[in-house]
Amino acid sequence: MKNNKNITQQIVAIAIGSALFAVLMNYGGISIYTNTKLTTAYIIPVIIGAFFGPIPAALVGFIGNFLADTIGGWGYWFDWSFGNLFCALFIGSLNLYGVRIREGIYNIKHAIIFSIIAVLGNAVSFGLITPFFTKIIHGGELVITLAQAQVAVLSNSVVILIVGNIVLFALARRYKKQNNLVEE
Amino acid sequence: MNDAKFIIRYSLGDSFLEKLAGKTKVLLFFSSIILMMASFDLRIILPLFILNFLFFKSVYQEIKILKFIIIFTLVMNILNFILFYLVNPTTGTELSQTFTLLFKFNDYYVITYETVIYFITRIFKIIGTLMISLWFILSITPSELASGIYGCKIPYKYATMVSLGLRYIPDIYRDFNAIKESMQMRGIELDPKKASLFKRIIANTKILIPLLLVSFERIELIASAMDLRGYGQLDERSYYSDKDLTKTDQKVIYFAYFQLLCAVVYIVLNMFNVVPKLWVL
Amino acid sequence: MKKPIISFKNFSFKYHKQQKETLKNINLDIFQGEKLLILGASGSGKSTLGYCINGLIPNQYHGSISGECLINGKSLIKSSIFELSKIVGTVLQDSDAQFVGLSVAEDIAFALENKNMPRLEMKMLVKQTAEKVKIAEKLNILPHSLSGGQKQRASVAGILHENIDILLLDEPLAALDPVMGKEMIELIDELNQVDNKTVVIIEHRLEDVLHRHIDRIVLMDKGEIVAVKTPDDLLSSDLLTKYGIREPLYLSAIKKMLGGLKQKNDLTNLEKIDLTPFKDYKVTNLPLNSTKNHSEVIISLKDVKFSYDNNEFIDIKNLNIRKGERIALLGENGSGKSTIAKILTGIIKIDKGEIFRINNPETIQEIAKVIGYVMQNPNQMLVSDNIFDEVALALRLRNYSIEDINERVNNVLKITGLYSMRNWPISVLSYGQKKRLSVAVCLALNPQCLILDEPTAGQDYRHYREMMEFIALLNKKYDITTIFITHDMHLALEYSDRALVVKNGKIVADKDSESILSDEKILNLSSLKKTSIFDLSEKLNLNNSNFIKEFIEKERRINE
Repeated sequence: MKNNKNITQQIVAIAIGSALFAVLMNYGGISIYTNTKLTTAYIIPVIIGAFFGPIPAALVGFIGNFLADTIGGWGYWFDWSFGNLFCALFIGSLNLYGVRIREGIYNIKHAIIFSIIAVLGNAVSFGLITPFFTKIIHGGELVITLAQAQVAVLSNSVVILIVGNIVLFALARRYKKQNNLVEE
Repeated sequence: MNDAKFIIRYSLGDSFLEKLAGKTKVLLFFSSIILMMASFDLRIILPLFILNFLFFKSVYQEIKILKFIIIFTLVMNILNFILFYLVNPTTGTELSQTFTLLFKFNDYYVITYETVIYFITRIFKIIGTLMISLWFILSITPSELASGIYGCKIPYKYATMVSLGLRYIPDIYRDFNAIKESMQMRGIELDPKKASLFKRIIANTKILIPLLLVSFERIELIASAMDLRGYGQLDERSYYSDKDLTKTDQKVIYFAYFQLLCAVVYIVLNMFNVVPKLWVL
Repeated sequence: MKKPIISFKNFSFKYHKQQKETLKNINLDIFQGEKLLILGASGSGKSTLGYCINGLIPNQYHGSISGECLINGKSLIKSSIFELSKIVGTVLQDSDAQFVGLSVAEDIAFALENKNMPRLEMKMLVKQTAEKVKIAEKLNILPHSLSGGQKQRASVAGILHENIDILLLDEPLAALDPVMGKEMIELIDELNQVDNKTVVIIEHRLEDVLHRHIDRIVLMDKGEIVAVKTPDDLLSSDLLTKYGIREPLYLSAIKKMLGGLKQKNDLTNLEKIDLTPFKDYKVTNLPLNSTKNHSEVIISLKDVKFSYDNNEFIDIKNLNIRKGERIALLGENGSGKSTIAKILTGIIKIDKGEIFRINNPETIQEIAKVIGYVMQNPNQMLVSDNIFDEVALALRLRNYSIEDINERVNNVLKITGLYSMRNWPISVLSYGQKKRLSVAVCLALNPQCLILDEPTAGQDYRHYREMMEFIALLNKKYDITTIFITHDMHLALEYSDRALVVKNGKIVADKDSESILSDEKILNLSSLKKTSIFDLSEKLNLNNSNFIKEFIEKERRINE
């Protein structure tokens, strides 16, 4: 293990990201009705992806989901775990198309690409991958599984698009290098 | 208020499952859940369900949320069955290629024996999966989980991600609450009765930004603290919380391997259409 | 004490991201078995110097190095952080971040696990080191049930078994209350005396560190070493005040009030200071100052009860808080002082009893207009892009008109001295400025009462003073009631008129600050400590209250 600094930091980032994911999954929802919540947890792989790349983001999606189930006791459903893994991989791919949050680089062009990828990624992960695994593992009617998946895709996409973009722009502004500050 | 009620436990009693080594629990869990996922055969699912239900009972804790989760999973799946039935009343028949009529509403909506078996199989499978998850969570500590994952020949970096994640969940939960409270004092409204959905989504971003910044500040510090104590220099690592495997552990591990073998055999046979897609008597 | 174990020669360091050098031309030899204190205000470069000893520079923090640094005879540039960790054991300031284990035992074992040590051997070593730092009975305790002091102890244990020669402690007292701090210093001393470890302490809390013997003190300022002296030499000079370090209180008093110090030795211990020259000192009988008539009750609690998980925790019979009061909320960790603050701000709903707040607000949002709560970590409160927006947020969320918002925010920014920076982004602010902004954020709602959680934690003397003077001004000029939660006894004394001591969820004392802070019985009860100024006053047989008032007055005048 040569480049130890980066490896340890990545491991810690994935661990902290997963812990954030688990906390938000269990406690950080935006409630719509009494028992239905929009979760903000998927913002975490987005941000981890922006800082550390898609693979750490995917791990946050997978391990974070595992931890969320572990502290919440919801049972482990691997059809959803795989969906999470892929979804996090997609939405965490920001540095592949030039986003550099640490240098304050996130613009409208990035926001559009991110939004498209986020919706597509969600559709593929929860609209195809998860129902596919659900069908294999638990059987059931593909039509209904797909229909249920669409609800998840839609609500997830909305949160990721709105919250994700707001947070990404805000973080980029925070990290932007500041020159020529004058007291007025 | 600061101590969240998590299902995972930090100290254990001394029932059969609780006393096993971390590695044994992880192996037993994985083999059980894989076998449960692989098969659609009541002859496998039913004994597996009974065994894991007994496991669950042996470590059951009186926790409100647990009851809720079990009931919730049951209700959701029964609703699902009704939907499945409405869309396709003869799922079971299609899978088993046999038709035994039990009851007839009209020409389309019929109840066949095969479909009844199918639904029974499915409900045992799903509740069984939940039972496996729950006994696992209730019988393992975060430390055992980490050493158990490493014990299953998974590189320790991944075990660290899990254990470190569990270590910082209470801290992050505390930060999350503190930030939420401070933002509520500033005037954000999270109550669905008082603010529109869009407003609440925006309000949540106000909690997320400081939470992210405060948490990310930690990453570098924790990494430094780990590097300063020699983390990641060797390819192998020992675990303080590890235990020597007892004779019982050995037996349980053999059993887990047996379950894995069953799962593999079943999957292979299934691919060659040797076993029925759905077993009916 | 012949061969240096650490040696800096013409050493300089510049972080990649910064324009100027953080360390300039450092020349320093540290010898085997020595106990050294690196002293300096924030930004003096003392922590950076520490990173050069444990190898975080250049392994973790990148930058350019010139000159030479040898650790145990080996060049810093050529050593990996892992090699250095076998020689230098580091205890970091943030006890939460460095506690990576899931229990005390696992955290102590962390370094051994990384060495792939067999479990039996590891368990034995963990037990031994845990006994050495007196935490053996807590081996299975989880991190979030530990106090700061216990976490620090575990961290010390976690580096001991490595057979290290050098112990490096980066602000070990930052998160500790007075009693824990004292115990920590005693523990460090023992390791130095008994095990002959070389000890390097980085701190700005000089008086606390001097509780036990120190061989030499390195004083730093703006990246340079300005003095390397024995404690006595340094204390008898005027360098400390010059470079923004708080002198031990008793010395400060002798120098400023009793006509100066003639003695040159044994200054680190009040017991050994010859006080005969000062025997005739008379305190002027000051009129009882600030007997402001705090008439109007703005908050009152009656028979308030609150329990966690059916365990009764908070039980307050009667508490009245009046307009314009300055209150210190004291008590050890877990005593319930934060919970009381949360009850006051309405975050926690009480089980039984009555709470009255002026104007009868009901929701958390409404209560914030009466009581503002300033959190310990300002980063937890700041969400906006620039200062103006940050202060305006609470008003915008309450739908104030634009004119109203502009007027109020500008007003608050002027009061807090942030007006000239109103368009600056949050990210460029220093910690002290962020802290001030977090107060401004609460002031936007024009509250009658401010609760400040550890307002001076982690700040050096100059910033500490600035912050507290600012709070005092708010109280004086705008008659805002201030309640602060603190461990710092002198701060409580100087900036509060009334003190509440909390123990096991009950208010066990509620009197004027001076009588509480001189009452040893109450102090012991809640892990607090009398300040040395009390001891001095008692030794001189003076009226404590007047002596302290005079001292505070003198200090304030000098600082202005």
